[in-house]
Amino acid sequence: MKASKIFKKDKILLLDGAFGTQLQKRGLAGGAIPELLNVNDPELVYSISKEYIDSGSDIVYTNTFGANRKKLGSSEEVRRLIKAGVELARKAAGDRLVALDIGPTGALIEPLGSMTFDEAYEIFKEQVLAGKDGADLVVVETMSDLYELKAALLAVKENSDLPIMASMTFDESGRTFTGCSVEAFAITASSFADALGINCSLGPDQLYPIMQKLVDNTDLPVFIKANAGLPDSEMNYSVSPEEFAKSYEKFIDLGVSVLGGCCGTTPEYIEKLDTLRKTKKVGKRNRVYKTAVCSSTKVVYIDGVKVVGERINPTGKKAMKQALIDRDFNYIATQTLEQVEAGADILDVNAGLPQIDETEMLTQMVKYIQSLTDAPLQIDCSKPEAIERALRYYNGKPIVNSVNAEEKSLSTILPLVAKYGASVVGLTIDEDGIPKTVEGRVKLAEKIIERAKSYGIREEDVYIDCLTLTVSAEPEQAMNTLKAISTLKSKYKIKTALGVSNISFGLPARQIVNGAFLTAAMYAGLDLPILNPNIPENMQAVDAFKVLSCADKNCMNYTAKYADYLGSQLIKKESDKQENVGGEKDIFYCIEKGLDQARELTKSLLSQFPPLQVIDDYLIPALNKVGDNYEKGKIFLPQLIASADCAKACFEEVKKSLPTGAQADKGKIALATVKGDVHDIGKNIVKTVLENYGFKVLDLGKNVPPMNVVEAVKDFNIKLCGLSALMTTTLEGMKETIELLRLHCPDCKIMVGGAVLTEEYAMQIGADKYCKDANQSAKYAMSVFNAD
Amino acid sequence: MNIEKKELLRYLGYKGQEYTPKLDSQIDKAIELCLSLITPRSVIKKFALRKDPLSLVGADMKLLGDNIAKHLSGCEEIYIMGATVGFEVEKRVSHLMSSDPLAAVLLDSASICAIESYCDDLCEELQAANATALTSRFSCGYGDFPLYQQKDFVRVLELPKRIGVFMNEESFMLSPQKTVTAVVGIKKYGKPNKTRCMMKCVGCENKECVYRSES
Repeated sequence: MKASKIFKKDKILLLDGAFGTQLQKRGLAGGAIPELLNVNDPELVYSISKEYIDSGSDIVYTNTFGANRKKLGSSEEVRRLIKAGVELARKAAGDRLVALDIGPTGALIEPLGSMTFDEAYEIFKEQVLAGKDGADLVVVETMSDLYELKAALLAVKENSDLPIMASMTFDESGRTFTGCSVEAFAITASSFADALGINCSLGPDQLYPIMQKLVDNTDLPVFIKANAGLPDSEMNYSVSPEEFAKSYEKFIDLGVSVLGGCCGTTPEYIEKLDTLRKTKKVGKRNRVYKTAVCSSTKVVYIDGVKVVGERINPTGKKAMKQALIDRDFNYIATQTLEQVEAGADILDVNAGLPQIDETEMLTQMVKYIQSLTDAPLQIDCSKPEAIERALRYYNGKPIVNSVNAEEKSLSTILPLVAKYGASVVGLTIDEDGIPKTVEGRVKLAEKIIERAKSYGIREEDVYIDCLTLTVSAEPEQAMNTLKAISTLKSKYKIKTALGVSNISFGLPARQIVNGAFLTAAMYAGLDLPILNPNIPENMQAVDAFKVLSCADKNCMNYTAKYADYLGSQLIKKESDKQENVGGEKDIFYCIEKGLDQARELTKSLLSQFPPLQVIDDYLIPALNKVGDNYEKGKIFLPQLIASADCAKACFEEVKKSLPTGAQADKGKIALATVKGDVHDIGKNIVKTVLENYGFKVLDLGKNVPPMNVVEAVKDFNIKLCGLSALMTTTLEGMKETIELLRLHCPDCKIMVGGAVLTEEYAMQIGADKYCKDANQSAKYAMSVFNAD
Repeated sequence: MNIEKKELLRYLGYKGQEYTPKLDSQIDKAIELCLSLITPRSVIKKFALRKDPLSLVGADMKLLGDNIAKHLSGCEEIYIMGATVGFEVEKRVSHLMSSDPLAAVLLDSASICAIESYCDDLCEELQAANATALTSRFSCGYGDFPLYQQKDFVRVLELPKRIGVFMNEESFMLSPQKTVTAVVGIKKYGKPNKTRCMMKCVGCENKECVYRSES
């Protein structure tokens, strides 16, 4: 049955009430697996569903909430219990509807947990395949991780034709346990599901304000399954059936058309709702669509100028290019955090480099960057295959940058944008190039808008880029770009994007022209300038425009940001002050104490000695002294880190003074927290210290499969690999990794560390060295690379 | 909830070294940041204890090992608890790690203090509700109380659903990282304990531990 046949605007549908509560009332022990009853006591399960049907439910959920491989142990058991569960619900439902119930796996997806997105997908897929025959729809419920929800929704969509209901669980703040906001849920899941809801955790009254936000961010039918209040320690719930139904009145007024109950509710509650629905009409929902993109924790509404940071892109950027080749995610992290700090609302991510596998790299970058920042991402790529992978692993609603008006681009990329519910940038260019006239560009934009709509993408989610041409080469085109923007904005509900810096190519003092063009473009109707937010003039133009266009109410943000503005000559007063502490101290003292002055001292040393001598005669001995002090207990961990961090600044100075191509690196070291382990603070401390000794660290991250370590060691010809594990249970993963490394990379030295590790055990599992702390790791690394 | 600087320093291996006012103020900042990021949540259930084998009445859960049995001697009822400070603080630690490692390490230590202090608060409340003494908290992995029993805590307390705590089935590691599960015994006799935290490290056999607390 089609979703539109099930969910009708004016009709109130009833779901069922709690299953677990009913089972517990009938004596199921706390913590036992309820799905086992589908085969062990089918009559009981049937009777619960039947009671709900008899009390008025139009849709009953199957008793399969936790019937997944993670909880049941085997795929066979999943199939057995789900099939039985669907049959029982079917029998009870008669001509009413059965929803195959899918709850969370109970495990957590990376980066917070160690399950991969693909593993989660496979687990859900198994449930869908086991239960789709006999069910009328699928409900994915009680989710607290948007990423896991997305895996489940994709699994349902790609493996069945059934309509999908999706609900998440929120606390009073309107966020889930993992920080997902109800708005992000609505904006992301609207593209995957046929109805959205909120269930569990709280009583109806507490859920009401959260429901308001949900209704405000989706056009789909909306459902509610509240708890009967909060339970006391004896598991008694506080809201009576009458009170419950009374509270539901306002949900109906709000336009919520599908009603049920979660923990603590019984057939009596459903009966009361059945009575209620006969007296109530569903409230009208008349929201205006709001264009938005989001991560799981942050929504950016495109309701004015929002800045897209352009720095994570190797095109024309030497350092970024090198970082991608070296898989140097540190550099990407720096670019990410700097841009967000500087005021970027959205980050463009581009991995287009002929030397690397773009699909693989783009996916990795998207995963990595979304673990680092709340800012939504813009996937910048033109290869459908790479775009699809990046979209699949994106947690939220991203932008795809871009399609153009060529048939090949439209027909390959727009279906992906539609499937994954993204927004899309459309470039006004086709096989004949960029039209020279305003009309020409508008026409191409219209073609893109039409084609997008034909795939089900809303006009509001299309961001047209009228393209910037170099003004020194084609003087009249600057105005044409601006006119095209204003024409399109007045005719359509689209948004616009534009990269601005191209305008000034070939001119002196480019920033002056860039700034003027940016301001003019915003006035013409530019919503998403794609620019470098680290250039103060760019952000100043945006901030000023927001004041002038009344987007910055009462100039609040502007005043807060620029109250102390003294012009470009005075930016960092704070750090100047710190530099003045004790002028005559030497570099040893400064590194030892972690003083910022060390950088200046390095500069002056560099004017006297060759760079490598500065490293060998000053920086390394200074760090060695710090290491000795740490070992002797004269300083403790924060001081060790402060010194290391300070030395990092010194190394940066040295690197600047090296001729291009020369290496200051002491050697390259791979670090990983082993498979199964997500506690990586120890590894990260080791990384900080090693880097600041001048080693180049390839950080493979946490929960790293053994083979990935081997591949990285091979690919980069690594001579020393460090592994960490926190718990007795994850030492096995360490052992496995060492065995594989020995087999494939016999020349690589291995050092290990971690809370439960001992020297003895480290030797037993075949490590070369046990390092009890970061300092020892650095010492060992020195010995490995100096021996060469 | 109170993050004690002394505790925070202990987790960083502090042994009385002299440190600068700058570090001191960085620690203060970490504490403040930590308090703004945590969302303490807990679930506590009370069970009667059955002997041979030692298990919970009304829940499918045994308590394995000699150490827990010894710890609960004289108890006929117990609380089992799960408590967490949530994901935000660990997310921030990992974000900070690349831009300001020192701040990250300080925040991590502060969050350890936070979860401990939160558990102490909870136990204080439990103690106030009982006329007899409670035992100290006893967790999986202490002595011979097996780590894999974490599974039972997760299941019986419904940790994923109730407080957003998840477990890795292979390693039994919990997420959020700053999460505690524990058993607290209710002694049949004996006056309530007045001290807030009862000699956390006394029962532990790892005398070499750098984090060992002397008080």
